[in-house]
Amino acid sequence: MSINHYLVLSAILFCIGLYGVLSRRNAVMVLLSIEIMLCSAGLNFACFSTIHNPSGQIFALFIIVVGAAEVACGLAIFFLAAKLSETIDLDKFNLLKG
Amino acid sequence: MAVTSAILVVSLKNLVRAILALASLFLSIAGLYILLSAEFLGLVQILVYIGGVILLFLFLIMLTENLFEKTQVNFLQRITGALLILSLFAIFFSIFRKQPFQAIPNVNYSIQEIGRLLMTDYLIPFEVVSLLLLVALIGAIVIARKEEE
Repeated sequence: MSINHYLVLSAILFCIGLYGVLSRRNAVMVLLSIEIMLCSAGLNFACFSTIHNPSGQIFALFIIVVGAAEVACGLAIFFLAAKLSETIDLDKFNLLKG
Repeated sequence: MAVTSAILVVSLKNLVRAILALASLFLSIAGLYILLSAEFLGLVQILVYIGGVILLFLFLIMLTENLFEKTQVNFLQRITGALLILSLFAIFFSIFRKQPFQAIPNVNYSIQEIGRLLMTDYLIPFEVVSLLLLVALIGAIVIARKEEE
């Protein structure tokens, strides 16, 4: 396998994740799709680190950490929003309208 | 395998099944990391994502199952999203077609090398990231716990 195969794979994964973000209305599903996109970005970093230097692996590690933090915060927010507004549909959240 | 499970994640209706498909996606990505001779990243991927994130999702689903199953599908949104994504992928593909094929060089960065970089060149980003993780977890607990009357 060459670098190009990895890049095409990560482009496909990114597109699938973006499609999930755009088309799903369940908030947890959107969070899962964002995870797919983060994965593809990390794969790109690791792929280019083989031709340059090991710094890319460190940035992929940072991506993993930030993804984990984002999931923890996002799930807590959705949990609270689902309790308050009785729905998990992103188009129906209107708690911030003041 | 990665592409199949990613498509499953965005297309399955049942949330638990989608999460299990996501676990399979993470596992295949970890395999790809190991193929790229980034063993450390593969191990971290398995530990953090499959051990932590998937478990978090599954716990939340099990605790609040009744709240998570009532969204209906908006077909206009889906079709528009699919068209947009197909055009984006066409752009990506036309870029990739012009690039020459480049073989993966046979490098082997050891874990010692990565640890040395984390403690020298990337010390401050490393500390910032660990602080961010701490703040995010404390914030999650504060948001999700019950209000005391």
